[in-house]
Amino acid sequence: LNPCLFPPNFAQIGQQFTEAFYGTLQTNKEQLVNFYHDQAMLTYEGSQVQGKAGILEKYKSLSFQRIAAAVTNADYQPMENGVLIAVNGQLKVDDSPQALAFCESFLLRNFGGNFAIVNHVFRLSIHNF
Amino acid sequence: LQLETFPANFALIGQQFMQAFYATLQTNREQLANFYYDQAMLTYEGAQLMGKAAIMTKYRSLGFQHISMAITNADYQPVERGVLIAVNGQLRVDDATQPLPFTETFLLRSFGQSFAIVNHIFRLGVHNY
Repeated sequence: LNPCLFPPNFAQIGQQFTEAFYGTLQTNKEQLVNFYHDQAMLTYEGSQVQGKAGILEKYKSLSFQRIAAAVTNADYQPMENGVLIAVNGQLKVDDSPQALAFCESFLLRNFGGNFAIVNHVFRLSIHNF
Repeated sequence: LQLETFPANFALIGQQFMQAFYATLQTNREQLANFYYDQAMLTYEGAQLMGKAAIMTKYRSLGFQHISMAITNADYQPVERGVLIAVNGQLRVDDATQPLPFTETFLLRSFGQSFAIVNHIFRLGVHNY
C-alpha cells in the first residue's frame, strides 16, 4: 500500500462531494449520473447495477417526486488515489410523515484531477430483530 | 480503472471475511489484529485511528464483556485488487435489553494470497431528526 498516493485533502474532497451529491439528489436526481465513472457500480437495496446507463435507469425508476435527505454522519478516509465515504442519515420522500434511516458507502477515485464514484452501496436501515 | 484487477470471487471473499470477523469479534476480540493491514485505518464513532497498534488499543478500550451481532445486510462490490463491504445490522452488549443498529464499511485489499482490511468505518445508527 502506497500512502504517497493518499490525497492529503481527502476530508475536503469528501465534504465537497457529499454536499454536491445530496444537493443534486434533492433537486435534480437524473444529474446524479455525472458523479459516476463510466464503469461505476451501484448496489441499491441489494440490486446490483453496473455502468452509467444502468445507474441512470435505476435513478429514473425510483418512484418518488421529492426526497429530503438529512445526513447525520459522514466519515471520510483516504485510500490510494481516492476517498472512502460512509454516510448515515435519514430521508423522507414526498408527503411521508416518517423519516427512514439510511446508510451508504461511496468509493471515489481520482481520474486526472477529478474524483468520480467507482463504487456506491445504498441501504435503508431496517432491521427485524 | 483497472477492471482486470477486480477479484472474480469478490462475493465469496466478502462472505468468508464477514463470518470470520464477526465470529472473532464475538469470541476473542484480541485476535481482530490479524484482520488488519499494518497501516490500516479505523474510524470508530468518529475517532480516527491509524495502524494496528492504535486499532487494537481502541478494541481493548471498549467497555463491554460480551457483544452479539445480528447482520441484517452485507453488500459486496469488487474494487481494484480488493473488495468493498457495506454492513448493516444490530448489536447487543452485555446485559443490555435493547439492540442498537450499526453500520460499517470495510475495504479489503489483497496482499499476496490473502486479503486484509485497509479501511474500516464503524458507526452506531443513532439519529436525531
